[in-house]
Amino acid sequence: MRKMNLHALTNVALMAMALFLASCGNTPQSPGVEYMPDMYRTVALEPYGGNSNYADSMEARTPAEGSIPRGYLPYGIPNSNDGYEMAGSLLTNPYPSNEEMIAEGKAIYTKYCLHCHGKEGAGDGLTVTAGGHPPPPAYNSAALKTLPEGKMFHTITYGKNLMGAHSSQLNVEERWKVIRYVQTLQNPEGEEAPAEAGAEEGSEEAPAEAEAMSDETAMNN
Amino acid sequence: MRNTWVSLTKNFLFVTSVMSLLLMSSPASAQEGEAIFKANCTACHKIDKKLVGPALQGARARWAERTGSDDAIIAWVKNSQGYMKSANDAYANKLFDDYNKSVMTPIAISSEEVVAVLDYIDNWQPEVPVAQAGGEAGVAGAEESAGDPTLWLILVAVVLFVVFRVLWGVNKNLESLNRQNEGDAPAPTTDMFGEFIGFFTRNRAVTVVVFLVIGAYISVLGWDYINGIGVYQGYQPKQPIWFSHKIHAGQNGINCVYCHNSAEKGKAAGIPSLNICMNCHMGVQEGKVSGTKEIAKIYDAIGWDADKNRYIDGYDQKPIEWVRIHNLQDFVYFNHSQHVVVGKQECQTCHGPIEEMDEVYQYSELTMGWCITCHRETSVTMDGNGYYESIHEDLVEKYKGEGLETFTVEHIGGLECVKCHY
Repeated sequence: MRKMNLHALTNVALMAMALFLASCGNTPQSPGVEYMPDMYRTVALEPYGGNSNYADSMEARTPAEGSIPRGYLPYGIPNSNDGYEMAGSLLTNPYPSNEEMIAEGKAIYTKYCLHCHGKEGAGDGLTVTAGGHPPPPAYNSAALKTLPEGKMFHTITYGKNLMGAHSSQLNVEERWKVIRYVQTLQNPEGEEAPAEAGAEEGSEEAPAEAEAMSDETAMNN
Repeated sequence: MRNTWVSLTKNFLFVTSVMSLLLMSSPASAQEGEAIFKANCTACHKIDKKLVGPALQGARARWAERTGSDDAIIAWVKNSQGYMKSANDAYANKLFDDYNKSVMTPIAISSEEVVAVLDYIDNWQPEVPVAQAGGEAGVAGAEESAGDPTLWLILVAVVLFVVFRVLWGVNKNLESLNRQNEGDAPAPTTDMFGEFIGFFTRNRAVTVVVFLVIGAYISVLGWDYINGIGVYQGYQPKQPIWFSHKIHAGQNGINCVYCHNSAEKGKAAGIPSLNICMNCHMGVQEGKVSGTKEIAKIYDAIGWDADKNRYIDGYDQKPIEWVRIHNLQDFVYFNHSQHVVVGKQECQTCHGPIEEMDEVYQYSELTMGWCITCHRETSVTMDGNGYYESIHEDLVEKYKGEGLETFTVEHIGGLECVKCHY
């Protein structure tokens, strides 16, 4: 009788051990065992975490209305068709078009524009060819070849048609820099260089002015 | 009665005019039309769906019905603003207002070319949808049903144990029957457990070895278990939206910082706010794998009316509650921009092959040992890196005796406690 019990006990013990081992299996749905979870799940507010003080419980806030970041200049041109035209005639790029700017612009372009507009700005990025997004017009197409930089800035800031506003991703400086690179894609072969003659004259007469102007020709060449 | 008669005649005239136009159009000009259409129109128009502008299917007929010819629509296509000014057409004004006053860019093409485009649109047939979605779903289903292998192993072990136990019993019974048949005295009654213990009491050396092996195995298991406490490696929670990095970062080649742009600017890499999703999903309203189901969740959260292609005024926006995967403890300081911009590290160095993951999991351990190892082994890119110019010169001077020229993070203080703990 005693031996029978021992027998049963062995079997039960083995089964229990198997079950225990099975329960140790970690699923990807669980982060695993935590010791002192208060070290991980902090009471301090974390970026992008929850915050019960707000009605929508989001810790990530948009800036309070009327607040101005340091060094910020408001963009006063309204988001409308008139504003678009106004931007085209009023705004000029404060950054010169030299190799350094174009290189910086290209780095920004690669990160923020390339996937839709494509390597050469032909509107054939991977989101278009692989992802099925409607293609943006090519930079060197008849409609965009002569697009003034102010309109580009306006478009990046507010978005246009299917292109969304990129002002939350690119600050004013980055927008102007990327425009310097986009301009090289508008006229890739340096086909039209209307400012060239004027710039050359200027460089002899007034060096200060010439800097800005000859930079423009550098872009075209 | 008279009215119906007039409208009937109108309809008849309209249908015949459209028919004759269709008959007149040659396939060559339709091909040309396709090329012109793709070069100039597809950024804002689809043939069968609204986009920035209206769906173009039937547009020619709608215009021809009102004005009796193609002239108006040709003028409108070439320069819509000019047409609105000169023609004072209420229908055109309404179109402009209905589509958010988006200006159709004037294009310098001839009337014949516009007609070619219109022909192409008239003859257009929807593409036969590719049955890719079913295939993908099938793959996902197969992966899930395979399940956890440990459960199967345990089941096999249990079955083997039962079989062993039964065979052992049969063997004993046969043995005792044999003894009975041969008239021997019955064997002393034993059970499996007794024999098992007996074997080990007789063979001490085997016992020692077996215990050492089992002990070592349990120690390793235990050590691994303790090391795994608080380590989330492999954590792959279900997210509120089935967002695939494989599709976005891999197939569509969207740069990581396009969405996580604060990785270059601050401490946290940033969860993109929904306006960044909308930068593409205004145009892409249907996914190739999940259809409209997952994308509709973005629209629901931000308040986008997919039928009218505009944001709903005064919509009560909702946050999307993504589940956090990577979680550093409160007592560790980590800064993304420091690693990505200054240290010029790729995102994949720590986050693994994100561009191949449908659902993201934690690739690295994110333990202190892991940090330290990387800081010891990674040499800092100092050439052309403005952050390190003077430091590099100082270091070259300092380590002259040892002949060091490349420096790891350790050399610039990457192992000092207060760099991360303060």
